[in-house]
Amino acid sequence: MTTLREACARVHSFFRKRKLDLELDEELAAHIELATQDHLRQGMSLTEARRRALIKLGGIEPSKEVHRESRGLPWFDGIVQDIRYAVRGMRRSPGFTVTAIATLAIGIGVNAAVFTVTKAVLFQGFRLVERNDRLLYIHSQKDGQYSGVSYTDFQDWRTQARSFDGIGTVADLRITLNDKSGFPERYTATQITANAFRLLSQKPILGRDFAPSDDIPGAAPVAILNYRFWERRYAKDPAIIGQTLQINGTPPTTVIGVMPEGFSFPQNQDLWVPLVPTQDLQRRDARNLWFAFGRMADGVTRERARTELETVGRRLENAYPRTNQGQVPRLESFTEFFIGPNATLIYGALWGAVGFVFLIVCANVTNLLLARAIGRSREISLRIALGAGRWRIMRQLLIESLVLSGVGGVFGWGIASWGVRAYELATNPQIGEWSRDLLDYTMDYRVLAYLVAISIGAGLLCGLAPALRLSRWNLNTVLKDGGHGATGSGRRKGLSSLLIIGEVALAIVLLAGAGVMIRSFLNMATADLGVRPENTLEMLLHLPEGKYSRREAQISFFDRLKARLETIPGVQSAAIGLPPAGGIPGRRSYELTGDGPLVAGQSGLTVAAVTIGPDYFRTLGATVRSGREFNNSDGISGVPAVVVNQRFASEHWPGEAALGQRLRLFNGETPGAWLTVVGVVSNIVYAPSRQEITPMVYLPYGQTPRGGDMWILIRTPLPAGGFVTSLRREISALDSDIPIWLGPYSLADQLAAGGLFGNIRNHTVLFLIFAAIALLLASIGLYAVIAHSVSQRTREIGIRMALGAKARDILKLVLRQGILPSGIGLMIGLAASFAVNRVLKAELVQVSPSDPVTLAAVSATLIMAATLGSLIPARRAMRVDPVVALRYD
Amino acid sequence: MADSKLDLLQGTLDLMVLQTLETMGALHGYGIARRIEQLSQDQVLLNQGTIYASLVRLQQRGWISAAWGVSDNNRKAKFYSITKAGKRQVRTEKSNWERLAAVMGRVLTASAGGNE
Repeated sequence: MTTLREACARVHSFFRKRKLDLELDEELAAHIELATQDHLRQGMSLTEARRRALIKLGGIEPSKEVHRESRGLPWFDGIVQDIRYAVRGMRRSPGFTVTAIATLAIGIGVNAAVFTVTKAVLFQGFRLVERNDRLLYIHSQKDGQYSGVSYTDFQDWRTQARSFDGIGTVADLRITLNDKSGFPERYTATQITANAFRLLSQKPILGRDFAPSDDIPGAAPVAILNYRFWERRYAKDPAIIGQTLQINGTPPTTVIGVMPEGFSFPQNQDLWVPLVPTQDLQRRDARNLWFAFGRMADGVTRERARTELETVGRRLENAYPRTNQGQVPRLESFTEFFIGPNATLIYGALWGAVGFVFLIVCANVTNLLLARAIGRSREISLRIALGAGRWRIMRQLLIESLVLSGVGGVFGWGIASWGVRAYELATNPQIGEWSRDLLDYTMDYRVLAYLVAISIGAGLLCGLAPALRLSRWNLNTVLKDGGHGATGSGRRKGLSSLLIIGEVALAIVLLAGAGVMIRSFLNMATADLGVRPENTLEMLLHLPEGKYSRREAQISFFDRLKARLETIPGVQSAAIGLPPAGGIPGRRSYELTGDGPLVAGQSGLTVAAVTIGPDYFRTLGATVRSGREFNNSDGISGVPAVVVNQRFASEHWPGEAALGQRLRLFNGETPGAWLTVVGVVSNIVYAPSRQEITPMVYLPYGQTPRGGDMWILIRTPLPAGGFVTSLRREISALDSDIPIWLGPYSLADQLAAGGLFGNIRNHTVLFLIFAAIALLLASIGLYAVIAHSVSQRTREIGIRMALGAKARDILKLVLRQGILPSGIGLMIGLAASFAVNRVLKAELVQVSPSDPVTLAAVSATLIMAATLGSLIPARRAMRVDPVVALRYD
Repeated sequence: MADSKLDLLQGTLDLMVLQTLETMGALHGYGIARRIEQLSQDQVLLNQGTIYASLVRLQQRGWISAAWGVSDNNRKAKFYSITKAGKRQVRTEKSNWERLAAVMGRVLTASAGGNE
């Protein structure tokens, strides 16, 4: 009680200083007068009476001081005073202040920016959803590659696995929607099992959630709206509940709910509909669901869930070998599934890189503060001599560095917001708002907390060494030496050199990391993928099921589309078929004539097979080595044909003509027709980040029973970007109901980015930026230390020159001071980068993590920067005029 | 002479001020200082200025209150008086002091080889 009351009173007093001081003045005046009168009565003289009164009081100022301390917040008063003092000092040396703040702002800014991105990628998961870390995303893998999810597999996982509170599943659906408001429009729906929202702990804000009866065959169609869609299309009209929509011409669908604002799962849908297992979906080999997801039950570890589901998977393999051979259920975290298996590593490496930048920043600012502290040694010693405690001095210096880092933090926030925005624009510009559902780069309170924490950390880290150093000085020597005594002290120089060594080492590690990533990127970008990617556009089309369910309709559509696109002036050729980096070619079992009978799946003989249309190789710019590519004669009525790549030909028919050879592919266990090799084509690399040349076979679109989505490619003699509009126009002129799922993209752009939605280029650029910042800061740091030391040693240099030292000797003297620690830092940095770069290995294409060329280039760059950094002050030292130098001071 | 004066223990001044105000009623700062000096027969080393720090402390804890008034010789001065909470505080502090004094007395008078 009393304590609280006293605290309140103290805070209150803190804000009423002036009034309280006036009152105290008056009270003390009364005191002196009363005492003087007493003394006068004892017979003293007036002067003596006053003197005695003052002595007994203990002086007016000290009395005021104790009064202030016991009534207010003396500690806080001191801090306010220190801050004021610090700001005044900073104003007096603007050069130092601007340098320190700019350095700190960069360090803090890039850290906060990378934190924002990393947080979104690694820790955030779905917005609004609680305990994202307990959600696992499940799909089947075959040969280590994503193979989708089959509805029947999912049902077995759900009924047999005990590790989960529940498992749901998701499929994407493009829809044509028709409601009372007018003409049909295309939207995106997500099909989910009825339990999905419950697993995500989300409820509609309006209407009801899906009920278990909503996703069984024959249930009345219902839909739940995304808030965004409800807002845009229905202006948040609550009366939408209960109304009906027409989706893809099915029976009327009733709207039953609206989800909360900002909620989306998994991304960018306008509405959700229950995933009702159709006849097609019930086929076990139809793995066309996107993914399944489960919430782990309390106390279940991810390891246990994985073991259990893999057991279920093996059971299914045994029970259904035809469809499930080699299909392994795989459980992944949000980051692994939606971002990629290397995400933790890559974003961790990014974080590490800016961590290094941060350390370099701190080292630089520490050096600046040390230099400044030495310039102030006389002032500080004087303050100590006048009775300031060591702790008081330390606090003063720490507050100065905290003020610097605080201001740096404010500017850092600006840098961070700008950086995050730039990153957002650079990554996936084509998706724009889409990706925001998955990756929310908002700089929220967590980013703010992180920024505040690192700002304070930087302030303490930078201020500590100078503060400790200064408060420990022997003030006698300092005062006697006129402020020069402490400057040449070996310990201070030692600390500076250590900081330089550290900075250089960190910069080397960053440079080496960026270097190998650039090499790897160049390898990837300039690699011969077997195609000419320039001036080529690609896009993925979706044929709606209803209108194009018949095979003939699909084939005729693409035939007509090809003909139409080729009439666009400037288009050289158009073709359908998978572009490089457009996806992973599916694998099929196969056999050659003469191999004897073969059971699919047992021989392990599989080959990547791609379905293509006529002119595919011409459009991509691949070379047909022998024979021909497919043409219009390879239709249903034609002879079953196949084109193989050179690798396939040389593996199976070395030294023989491949043309005319025969092979057949399997559909599960069923063999297809015998195919005749009609052409051999140069090797095309489909995964540019792997760059493996694998045996491949190409099948003519006209002869494969495959429909649905196809990539369409065009080649032009001019930059392809100008053809986007006419491409869209021709497609919609042919059939306005055909949605373009992806694209049109430039093939060259896709390859440069490292594939669809690839981020390799962006990461390389980021590493390069961070490394450049590191190099720049380290050079500036080196320059600052040497320049300062030269200015401190002007007198010494003057004496040396007066005693006969040549300019060359002085140059050597100064250069050695910079080159030596840089050299040591270089060695340490190189050693460290051997270890650190190994982390990047998974992301590197055809370059060793300790690539000697890169390391040599990096070392040369650094030596140049270090020489430059020390040469400028060294030249100044050489021009020292001994007469001036000795008189200086 | 000054060497032999007693240094005041931390917190004792506050209790002295409270007790003075309880027995003497409202007093100004100088009056309190004089009173304490008289009672201690000038045996304590009192920096009169510290009285004011003590007064502001006691005031903030709500044990005394202050009001401007006029002294005997017509001088405007601030007068302090004890509050109810202050009186309660004096009682507890007093009994604490007495117990502590008794214990100190016993400890200090016990002979080295005493079998107490």
